[in-house]
Amino acid sequence: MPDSEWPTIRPSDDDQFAARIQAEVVAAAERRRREDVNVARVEREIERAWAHVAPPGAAGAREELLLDRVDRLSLIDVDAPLGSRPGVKQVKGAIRKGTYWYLRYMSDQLNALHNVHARLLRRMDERLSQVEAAAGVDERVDGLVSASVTPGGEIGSLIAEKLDVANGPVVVAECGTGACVAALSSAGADAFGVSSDTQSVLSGIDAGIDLRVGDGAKALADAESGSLGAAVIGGSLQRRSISQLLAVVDDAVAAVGSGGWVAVVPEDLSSRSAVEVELLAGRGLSAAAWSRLFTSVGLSSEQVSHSEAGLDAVVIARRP
Amino acid sequence: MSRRPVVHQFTAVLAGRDAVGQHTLLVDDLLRDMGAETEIFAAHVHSEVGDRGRDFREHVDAPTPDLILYQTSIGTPVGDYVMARPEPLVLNYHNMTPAEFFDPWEPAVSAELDHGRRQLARLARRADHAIAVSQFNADELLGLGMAAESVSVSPVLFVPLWERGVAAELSEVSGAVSAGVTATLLFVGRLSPNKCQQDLVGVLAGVVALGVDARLVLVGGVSSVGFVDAVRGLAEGLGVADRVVVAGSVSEAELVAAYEGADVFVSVSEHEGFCVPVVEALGFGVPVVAFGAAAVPETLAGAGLVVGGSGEKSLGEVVEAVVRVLSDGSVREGLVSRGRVRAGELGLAASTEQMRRRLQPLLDGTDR
Repeated sequence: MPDSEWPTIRPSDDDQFAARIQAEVVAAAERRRREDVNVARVEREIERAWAHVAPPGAAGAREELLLDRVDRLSLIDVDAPLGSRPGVKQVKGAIRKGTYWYLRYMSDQLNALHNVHARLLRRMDERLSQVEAAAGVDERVDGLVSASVTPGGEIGSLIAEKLDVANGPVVVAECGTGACVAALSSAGADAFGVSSDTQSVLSGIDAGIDLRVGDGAKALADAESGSLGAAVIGGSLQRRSISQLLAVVDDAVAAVGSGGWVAVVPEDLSSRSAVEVELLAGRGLSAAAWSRLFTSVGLSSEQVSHSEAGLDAVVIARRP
Repeated sequence: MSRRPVVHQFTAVLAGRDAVGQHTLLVDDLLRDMGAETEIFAAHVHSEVGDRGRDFREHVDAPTPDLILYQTSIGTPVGDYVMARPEPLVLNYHNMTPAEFFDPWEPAVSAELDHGRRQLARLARRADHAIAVSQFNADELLGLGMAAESVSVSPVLFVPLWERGVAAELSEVSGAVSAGVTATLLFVGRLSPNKCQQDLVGVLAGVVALGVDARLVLVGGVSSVGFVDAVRGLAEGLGVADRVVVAGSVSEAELVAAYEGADVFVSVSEHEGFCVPVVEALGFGVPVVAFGAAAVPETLAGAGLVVGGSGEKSLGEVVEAVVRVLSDGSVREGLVSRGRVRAGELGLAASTEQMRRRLQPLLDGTDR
C-alpha cells in the first residue's frame, strides 16, 4: 500500500512533460531500429564484447550468448600454464609432459561429455525456436491484416457506468490513443492507459490523456495485488495465444483484488475478412469465450452491447 | 515532569562521507532537537566521526534505551544484536543489493548479501515499525510481511553537495578540462554490478556511433575489481577506451567539478533504494536520463527522463534519450528547471521535516 504522505507514486500525473519526451524517445528508438540495420549490429557487438570480458553468468541470460559461453568453456585445456619468464627449459618441458600424460585421459572424457551437452543444447535451442516460430504470430502478419480496434469513448463511458469509479485506479491495457481512458477520467475514474503503440500514446498525451508507453500485459502482471480498482483489456493484446490470454486473465484478476472489475473489449471476430480469418487463426476470443474464462476463475460476468464498429459486446466481470 | 526519551541508533558502519553514515548522523541531530537523549553504536566507526559513535559491543554496558533505531543496509552482526534486544525496534531501511548481482563477480560478497537478505526477513518479523527511504523499499518490507500501518516512508537525509559551498577543483573528471570533447556523460555511484556501468559504456558507444563527440566519466569507489577490469575491457573492445574516465573515489571538490562539467547524468542502474547522486545531479542543474528500475522513478518523480519503465532495458532508448537531451535545448531547459524543484523537495529541510513527522509518534509512544 503506498504511503499517502509520500507524494511521488505517480509522478507524471500533474506534469506530462517528462512522459511526453519519454514517449518520443521510445518512438525515435523504434524508428531508428526499423530504419537502420546497423543498430541491431551494434547492439550485438556490445553484447558479445561484454560476454568476452565478463565471467559466466554476468553477460545476461540470452540463450544465444549462454550457448556461446557453453562452447567456449566446454573445452578443458590440459597444457600447464608455465608462464613466459626464462627458466630451465628441461624442467618446464618435464612439467608440461607430466601434467599432459596425467590429465589427458580424464580431460578427454570430460571434453567428450561437454561436447555432447553443448550439441544437445544447440539442438534443443533449434527445436525450441521452431516450436516458437510455429506457435507465435510472425510480425509480418501484422502488415497483412487490419490493425486491432481499440475501445473508444462510448465504451469508456459504458464501463464507467457499470463499475465503481471510486474503487481505485483503472488501467486500460492496450489503450490506443486513449479515447476510452479519457471517457473513464471524465466519469471520475482515476484512469490511465498503457500501450505498446508509441505513436498512439504520443497523440493521446498531446490531447492531455494520461498514457504511458509499455506492454499492456506486463503492466497488469507488474501491478501489485489488489492495487487496481479495475482493468480494461483491449486492442492488440487480444491477438496473443490462448495461454498468454489465460495469464493475462490471472494477472488482471489478481491486480484488481476483491470487489474489483475486469472489462474486456473483444474484437468482433465476425467482421474479419476471409484472409484475416486464416492468417489470424486461433487469435482473438469472442465475448462469449471471455465470459466463460472469467466465470471459470470465479468472477460473475455480463455482456454489454454498444455501437462501436469492429468490436464485440463488452464483457464486464466482477471479482467477489 | 517526564524524562527525555532515550534512543539508541545502530548501524553497520558510521562514516562521514557514506550516505547511510551521513543519514545516521543527521537523524541523531534531529532526535536531539526533538528532545531525545541519543547515542550511536556501530560495528565500525571511522576516525573522522570517532566522537559521534561507539563500538556496538560496548552497548551491553550502556543504559537501557526506550527505543532502538536500526539503520538497515547490509547483513551484519549488529542486526543480530538489535533483534535480540528487548526494546522496541524501528528499522530505517535503505535497501540491500540482491545477491545475484554479485554472484559471478564476488562470490564472498554475494554470500554476505544473501545473509543480509535472510537477516532482513527476520528483522521485518521482529521490528515494531519501519521507516523506508523510498516507497520501493517500503514495498519490500510489506512483501516480507510487515503490516501496512507499521511502514512509512521518509527520504534519505543528506546535506546536498550544492549547498555545502565546496569550490570545484578541476581534474580529469571535470568536463571543463576535456579539450575537444563536446559532451560529457556522468555517472556517480560505486563501480558495482548492480549499477551496470558496462551498459553506460554501451550507451557511450551508441552515442558516439550517432556522431556525438562524447565521453563518459564514472565516479565512485570500487565494489569489485574484476567488474572494473571487465568494464575497462569492454571499453577497449568497443573502441571507446580513450573516451571513458574511470575516476574512482574523488574528493568533494572534484565531485563538484564533475557535476558542474557534466552535460547529462546517466544512470542505467538496476537496483537503487533511493539514489542520492541522482538528486545531487538535479541540484547541480544537470539533466538526468535513467533506467526506470527500483526506486529511481520515484526519486526523479518526472524531473528526469526515465526509459524502460516497463522493466525492459533498452540501451537504444537510453542512447536516444541522451542524444535528445544533448541536442534539444527546450528539453534540457525543462528538465533542469523541474530538476531543481525536485532537488528542493528532497533537500535537507524538507526531508528533515518529513523524518520529524515519522519519528514524533515513535517518541511519543515511548514509556516515559
